[in-house]
Amino acid sequence: MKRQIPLVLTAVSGLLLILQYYIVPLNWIGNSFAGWFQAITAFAYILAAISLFAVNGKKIRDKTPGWMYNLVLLVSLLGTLYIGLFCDLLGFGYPGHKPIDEGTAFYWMFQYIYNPLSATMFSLTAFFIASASFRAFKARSVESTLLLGSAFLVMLFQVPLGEYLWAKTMPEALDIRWFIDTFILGAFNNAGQRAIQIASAIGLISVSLKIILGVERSYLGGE
Amino acid sequence: MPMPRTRKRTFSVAKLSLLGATFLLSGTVGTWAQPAATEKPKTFIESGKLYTVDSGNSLKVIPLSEKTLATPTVLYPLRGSNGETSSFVLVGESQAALLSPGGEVTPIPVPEPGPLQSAVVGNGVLLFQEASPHLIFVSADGKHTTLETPGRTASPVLLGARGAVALGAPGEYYLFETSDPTTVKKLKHPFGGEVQVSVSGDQAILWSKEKLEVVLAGFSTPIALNHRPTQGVKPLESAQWALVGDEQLAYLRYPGHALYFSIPNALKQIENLEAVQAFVSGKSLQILIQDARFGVIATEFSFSGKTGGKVFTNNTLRHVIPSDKEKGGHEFLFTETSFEERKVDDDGNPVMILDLKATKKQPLLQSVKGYTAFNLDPIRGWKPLLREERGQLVGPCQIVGEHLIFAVQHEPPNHPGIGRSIDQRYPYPRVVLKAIDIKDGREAWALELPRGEAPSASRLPETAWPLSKAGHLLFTTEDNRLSALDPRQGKIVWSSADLPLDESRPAILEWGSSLGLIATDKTVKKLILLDQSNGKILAENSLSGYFNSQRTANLVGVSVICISLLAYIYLAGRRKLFIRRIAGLEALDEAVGRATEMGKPVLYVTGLADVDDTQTLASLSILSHVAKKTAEYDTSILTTTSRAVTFSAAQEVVRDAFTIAGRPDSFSVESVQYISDDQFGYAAGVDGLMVREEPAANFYMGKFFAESLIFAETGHATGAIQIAGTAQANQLPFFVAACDYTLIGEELFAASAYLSGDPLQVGSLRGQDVGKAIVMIILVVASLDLSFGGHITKFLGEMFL
Repeated sequence: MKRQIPLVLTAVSGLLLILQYYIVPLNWIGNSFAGWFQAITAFAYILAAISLFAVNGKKIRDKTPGWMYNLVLLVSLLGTLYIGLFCDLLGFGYPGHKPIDEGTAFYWMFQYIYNPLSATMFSLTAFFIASASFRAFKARSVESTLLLGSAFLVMLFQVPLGEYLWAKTMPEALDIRWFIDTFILGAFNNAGQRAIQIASAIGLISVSLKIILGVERSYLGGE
Repeated sequence: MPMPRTRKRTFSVAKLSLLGATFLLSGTVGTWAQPAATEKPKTFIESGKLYTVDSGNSLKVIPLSEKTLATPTVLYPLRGSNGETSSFVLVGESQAALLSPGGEVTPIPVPEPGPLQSAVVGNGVLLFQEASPHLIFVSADGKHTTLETPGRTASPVLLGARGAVALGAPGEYYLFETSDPTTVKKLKHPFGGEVQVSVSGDQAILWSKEKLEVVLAGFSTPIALNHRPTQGVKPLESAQWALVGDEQLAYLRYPGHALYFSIPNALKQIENLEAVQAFVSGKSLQILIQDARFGVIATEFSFSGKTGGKVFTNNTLRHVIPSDKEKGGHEFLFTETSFEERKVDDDGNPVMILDLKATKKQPLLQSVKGYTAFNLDPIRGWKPLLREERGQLVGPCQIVGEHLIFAVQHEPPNHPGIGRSIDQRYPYPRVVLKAIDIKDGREAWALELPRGEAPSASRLPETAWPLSKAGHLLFTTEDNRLSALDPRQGKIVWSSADLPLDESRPAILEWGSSLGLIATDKTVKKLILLDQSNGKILAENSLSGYFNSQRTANLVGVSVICISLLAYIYLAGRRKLFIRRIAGLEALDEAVGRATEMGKPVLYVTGLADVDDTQTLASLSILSHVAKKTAEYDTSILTTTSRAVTFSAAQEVVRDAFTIAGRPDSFSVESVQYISDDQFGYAAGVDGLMVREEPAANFYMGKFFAESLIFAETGHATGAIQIAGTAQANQLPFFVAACDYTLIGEELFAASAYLSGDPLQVGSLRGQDVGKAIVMIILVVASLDLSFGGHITKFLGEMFL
């Protein structure tokens, strides 16, 4: 029974959501389900927060290596919660303003702590692209040599320097930009991407159908 | 051979009238319409269907047939002498019909097949075809008369309520007047070759570039000019003006005389007369030109012979509002103005120009857009009335009652280096309504409503404010309501309840005491009837069909794939099916085994999406298999999630897998961890785990974005064996470059079936492959078909789209 009820609910919900996609008077079902999902998410955050406290609290208590980071995480979590939720109630808030309004402490934290930290993490991508490219673009075989050549052309002509050098050194009739846009990006790259997308879409239909029919049930655990 | 200019011009004017009538009367969504102002029947057209709303406010479709008119596009009410609607004229692509208030449809015979055009002329409707010599006039009593105009070379040009004029054979033109709807006059003009027609109100002037004369429609005697009209003749309300020769402007008052003025240099270079705004104010002719170099050039030609003018640099012409003929008052000009303002930093300090050699620091200036409103002073000419930096004019600028009403959107200031905070509920700047008293030319009121109650910027009308019967200005608010504004006081009179509106502009239909609003919310279209006096919703009727026909092709495609999947799931239960080997999935057990040998944990990352994404569901299925293996091998697993619901689901999956493997005690709080909803916060948390715990096997399965390479490269640096799987085409290259194995697109979805070995699931894999084969065949056939004319593609497109 523990297994049957979720399967029936999944099948009914799946079928209803498919029907509402095609049948106009049932469109409200999609919106309604989206609302329910929001409500479920709100409750799930309580469980997620408990997990955060349990995992990080255990590490702090056991003084595992790096436990200070776990402490920083919990202090940041509680500090953000306090400033966002209770500042107004305790009289240190922002009368007439929401915590997210410009000029508030919450906004300041977002602007000067959160944003720079996020930007720092994102900036790492530049270095990782360099190291990953270094490993990937090695002329070990015919295929990898072709990959190396195409990558070199595409990357060089994504920047103005490439265009400048080409214009200075090559005759005007040889239009490398056209070659890259039409063949490398427009034909090979586009065709490859679309093949992946079409196959993914079919796979997605397959998984969805199996879930609705109850053939695929491992996402519920156990099987 | 190029088309004669006369033909092009007259056709465009007629077509414009037709479009105008369609705009006003059809009630098509996306326009603000003002159709039949009748209490009953409430009749309107929507998407080629004719509807009526009965006294009980219930909606009915009036059946139409191919014999009468299957798909009407325009609906004209015919009003009798008492102002009541007696019947309607329905016009379609090539057919027309008369609709009685009782819903009876009688076809109006159209002599020749072909596209039919129509326009309101006086109290009736004129129907015509470009290439046919017939004109059909349907009078207010519903009677139609077919008039012959042999030799007509183009569509007639409409003269307001008076009638229409059409060029005929060389030297001839036709004049149709509603005062005598049974006849059409054939008149002579002195021009040969290319003849053009300029219209103002119910007057039309015929002229030719080759002749020194012009003729007023209805007269045969031309008025002489001293030079040829070089650029054309521009119509005014009661007269015309023309540029003649290279140096002069002629102001024509037919049939009396022409006044001549010397023109300033800017006027000599005019190439497109249509872009010039002109009107008569008192005893002068005012001309406004948009010049690319100088800005707005305003020239005044006084009838006493003086010429004066002003140049407004850094301005762009937006609206010219001549004085209301009945109410009098000022003339107004609105321009978009470029202002220079000092750039300031977040603390309000001026930003200086970065010039190290400069002895004195100069503030950095930036150009911002605003607007300026001018009014015309009889002595001093155009003088600024209102000016706002960072204020963009949006929507119509129109005289309503005694006020000129317009809307402004204020752009917030930009601070260098600081992103603008955007309220997700109201991402656009607030719209403020303003009014100028047309009598004294002063600002009467400005209405800055709270967010939500302010007018929706995306749904502002383009040309005219919709008005209720009581003269209230109607607009839809940011929080999807309809509000009525008293234009005299600048106060909200009523606001309706919430309406199902998306970003598209709704059509508003006015029927006596009620308003009809055709509201579209994504795919749902409704007719909502509201009480004009208080905005109360009287009734809601659905205009959408049951099936969303835009998704027919989608349904066919999905059905074909589903049938092949179901067929193979059925076949799989009867015989063993071969499935190809997927290296990434074969390596899953090997990776867990390696972690066991090294005595290190396994890291499993579920991606950034929630459980409503199928990639996450596929990831949870693989997690079930991996968790079971780790439990069997007594290896610890660290599962990280970035969404709360995914966390709960993953916890259940891992706990159940441990139980099935017979090691429920091995499950700990660290087996599944929620880290953060934030993309890079999550990336930092997972990277920290990798560096501290040094897992020997990393699995990245699900939906990934920019953090994919951060994970994969950090994992590579820690020396872990890495297996990734995603359907995000943009992230796959990163995983392929940095991971040992990658499940590409559909392989992620195939994983659960592949790993389980369950015959039913294996059948679905075969079904997937067959689906791909079908798509490949369609792509090849469609490519070949398109290369040879695209007949099959066109046929299927018409069938399904």
